[in-house]
Amino acid sequence: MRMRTLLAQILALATFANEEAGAQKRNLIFVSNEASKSITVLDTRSTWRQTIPVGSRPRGIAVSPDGKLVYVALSDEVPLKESAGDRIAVIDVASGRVIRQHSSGSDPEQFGVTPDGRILYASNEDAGTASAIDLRTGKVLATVVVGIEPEGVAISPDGRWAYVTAETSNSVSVIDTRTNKVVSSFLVDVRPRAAVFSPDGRRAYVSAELGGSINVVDATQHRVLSTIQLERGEGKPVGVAISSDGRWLYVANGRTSNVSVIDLRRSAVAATIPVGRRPWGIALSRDGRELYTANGLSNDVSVIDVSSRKVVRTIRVGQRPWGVATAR
Amino acid sequence: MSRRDFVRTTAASVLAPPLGWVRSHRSADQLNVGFLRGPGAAAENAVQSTSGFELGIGEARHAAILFGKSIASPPVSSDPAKEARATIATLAESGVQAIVFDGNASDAAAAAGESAQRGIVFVNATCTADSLREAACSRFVYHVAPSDSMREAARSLVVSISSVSPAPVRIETWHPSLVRYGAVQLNDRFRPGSGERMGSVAWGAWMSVKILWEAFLRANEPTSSGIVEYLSRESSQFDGHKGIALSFRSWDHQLRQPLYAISADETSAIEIPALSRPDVSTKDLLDMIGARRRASTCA
Repeated sequence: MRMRTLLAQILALATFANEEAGAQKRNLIFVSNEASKSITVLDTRSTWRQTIPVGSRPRGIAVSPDGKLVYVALSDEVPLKESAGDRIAVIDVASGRVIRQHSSGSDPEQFGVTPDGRILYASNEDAGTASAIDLRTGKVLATVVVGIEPEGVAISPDGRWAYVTAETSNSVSVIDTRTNKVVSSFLVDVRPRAAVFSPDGRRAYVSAELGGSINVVDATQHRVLSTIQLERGEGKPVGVAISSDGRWLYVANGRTSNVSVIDLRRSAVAATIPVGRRPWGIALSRDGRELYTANGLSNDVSVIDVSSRKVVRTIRVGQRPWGVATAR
Repeated sequence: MSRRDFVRTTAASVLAPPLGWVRSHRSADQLNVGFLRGPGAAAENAVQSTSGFELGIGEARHAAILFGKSIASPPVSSDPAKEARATIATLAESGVQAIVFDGNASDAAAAAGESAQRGIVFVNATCTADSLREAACSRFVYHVAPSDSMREAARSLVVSISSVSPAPVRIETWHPSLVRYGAVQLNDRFRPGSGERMGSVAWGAWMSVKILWEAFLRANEPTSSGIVEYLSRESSQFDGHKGIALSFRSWDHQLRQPLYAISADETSAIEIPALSRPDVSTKDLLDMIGARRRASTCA
């Protein structure tokens, strides 16, 4: 009996080790397909792929801090009121299934998850609000007024601040996550879309699609310090991703179908990389060596080698890919 | 009386606002915007222009909370016989820094002149007359409505590139069939309050308030002079859900913007000029339609 137990334990350990090794080898990326109403899961190091139907229109997408879950903002076609299609779907990475759906307020577009994985802040696009959702209980903890047509959400690395951009009012609202209240708001360039914090939390970067610029924000004072023009002001920046050392900012330039690489030490564009058509979502791989863009009009994902700054692969996904996420 | 009927019957002007309103609405942190429908304004546009203006005020009020500021509009009541010039005087007494206008060319010229004299920013939401952009222009007068020249240039452009016979082309500033650049969201926000689909007149009134509110927030000083100083800057840009940054031309104070050629069956809108020209700057692209430089008194 003892021998049997021991053998079972050895077998279990071996299986676990194999799964771990498999997980290490795989490099999963998750793409929300707005028109197909599905999530494409890809392993960029093999031909393995999976499609997960989600029922409603998926846009914002992110992986939980522990890498086990994927959150997706779903919204329906009913404007100005919350309905059954407005949800945050939770996908279990291991099984590839939607295991939960949380209330999110009306029309969730993008969101950010606190570093401890407990609270999700979602922008409610048609309501001009942002909602804080407890990911353990699924309860909406607070709904606060932010700008008109809120979109991008970024959480500071220490989890203290949630920045919510608003496209129509050209503003960023700052939510103190300790009180779930808006403590500050500031104006940025025209039509702000996404935001990201520097790894040290001292700066934030906000893309302004029609301003053709990146606003550099002092995240300790919540005020704009400077502006970096893209493509001489003619870029159309949407999604943003930052390198783990805080040196490089990668910007998906939507309608100009390229990615700007910004050297943040010099506050200048260091390179421009042509990608598929209308990249909005952008994400770096866990090791920082690859960059992915979700190209909404060419229905594919561009895989960029960060060191050579070249597209090394293009992968077909669903219809109108919107966002892309990788496990941290 | 339904809201729809109400706005129809409020065909125009502003009566003297109560003294209490004036006292309680003068503040450095507040923008007071008057809405003037001239006596000659098209009756069928009443719901569109009034609802567009109200949507703009409502959205600015929403955003104002975030900045510790406010926006207000003097109460409107019906007095269709009142001349536009007299209405401006009434609005001036109520302390407005700016006026959004809907009406015909003669009312616009009179009201714009009166506003300019009183140092009130005048934003023309609907009148397309070229004359307003030329001899009748002044430092305080801006035009969100596209000029006749712009509309004609857009029409010519469509006819020149169209492979089909040059059927009459309708040129609009906005159309409910628009989808891209957040147009769906704007159309969705407009419909519940008005009971109508958003058209060019409504867009013009909404955009006029949006521009004034942004200029007020970003201006160096919260006065009409501060607002016009901001509007006249080369770097000032605005988002009208048209997919490109909009700005005012320095020489005629006309808002640069794409226009739309509407299909005969009303189901689609062609963007003019096409915005997919990365080799051309935003301003040059938009100046492809009707940017005639003539003697102007705008500056």
